[in-house]
Amino acid sequence: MEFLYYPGCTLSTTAKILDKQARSIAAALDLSFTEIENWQCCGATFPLNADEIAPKLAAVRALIQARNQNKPLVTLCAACHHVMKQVNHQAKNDADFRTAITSYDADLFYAGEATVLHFMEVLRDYVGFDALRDLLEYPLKGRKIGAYYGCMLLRPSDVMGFDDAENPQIFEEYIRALGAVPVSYPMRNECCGGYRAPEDALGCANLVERIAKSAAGRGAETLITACPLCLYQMVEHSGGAVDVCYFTEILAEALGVDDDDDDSND
Amino acid sequence: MTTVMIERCMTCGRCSAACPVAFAMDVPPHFWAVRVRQGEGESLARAEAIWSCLACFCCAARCPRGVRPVELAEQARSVTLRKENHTATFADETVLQIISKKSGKAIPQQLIVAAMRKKRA
Ligand code: SF4
Ligand code: SF4
Repeated sequence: MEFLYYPGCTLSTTAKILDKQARSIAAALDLSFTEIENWQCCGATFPLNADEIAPKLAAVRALIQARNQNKPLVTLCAACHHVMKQVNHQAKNDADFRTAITSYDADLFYAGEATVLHFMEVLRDYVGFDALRDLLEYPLKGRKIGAYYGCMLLRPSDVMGFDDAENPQIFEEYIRALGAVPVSYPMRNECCGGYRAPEDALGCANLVERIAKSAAGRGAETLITACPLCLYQMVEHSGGAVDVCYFTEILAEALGVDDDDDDSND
Repeated sequence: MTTVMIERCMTCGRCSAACPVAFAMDVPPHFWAVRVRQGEGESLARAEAIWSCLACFCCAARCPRGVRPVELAEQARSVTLRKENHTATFADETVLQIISKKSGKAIPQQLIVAAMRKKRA
């Protein structure tokens, strides 16, 4: 199966490990990932003002490539995924937005035809968690792992369509497929506070610390996340209550494609 | 003018109950739609709360009436930024602040871009 891969700015710089692990996993699972040509930064946030069109054009250009090549667009970063999904949804459902984007550039006629998938959805829907289980070299027996979803993959749920925003299960099913024990805890879909980190690091520290303690209190040894900002917030501010890594790390380990020359999260 | 269905808000407070930072806000989210409805949008634009909003979408997810307070916060920020026309310096200062912070771990690009976007009109 062929996919167009949109890495985004963070995976090209401070979260290279997430990019590397995803590419190794894709290769091991025979998924063909082609990096999208000349991609531009998605903008990291989806503008909520109706009159902001230009900040969404980078996403539109990526989505048009996916449509024209008839391949699903795959993302890993929670922020990229959020922006791509939101822009795709708006292009499909908002005629004024479609008109506005073509007024910037007539070639940008786009009506939301592309499919946007998160890498986790590729694993579930194209590989299959049962099939994945059979491919593991080193199942993570007995490990207690908690899912940290955060905000951007889940909400708004009618647009994201990732999972039930109040009681998501996809990460837990993934953890179970890898042979580990998923630890459920109440704060797994709460915000890390990242958007306010520059102005108020202390207030945000409180938020992630509560989340980490909630997970540790239920017995989680490790948390997995798809978001470089959640990971940063956890590492910087959670007080070390629990280890945090990208969701790809545990699969790379279980598949035996973890080449270990760089096990930092940078 | 706003695209948020402010007339549907019944001030039930579920948004504020869901909001992780409402406890620290001068004007918590369950007042936002009412303020705008009563023609007091200006006072919302002056509230500190609109800058504390994390854009986590919890308020919108829990609202039983389909109101999206999170959008009102962004619109109120834009009103302020556009009126005061200090977009560029505001954004630059924020980014400088982030980059110059002595931190144990490299700040993700995602945060730098988001901080710039937040303070651009
Ligand atoms: S949850 Fe919705 S209806 Fe209730 S106060 Fe908040 S915005 Fe208004
Ligand atoms: S989006 Fe803003 S107002 Fe709404 S729950 Fe999150 S922090 Fe609170």
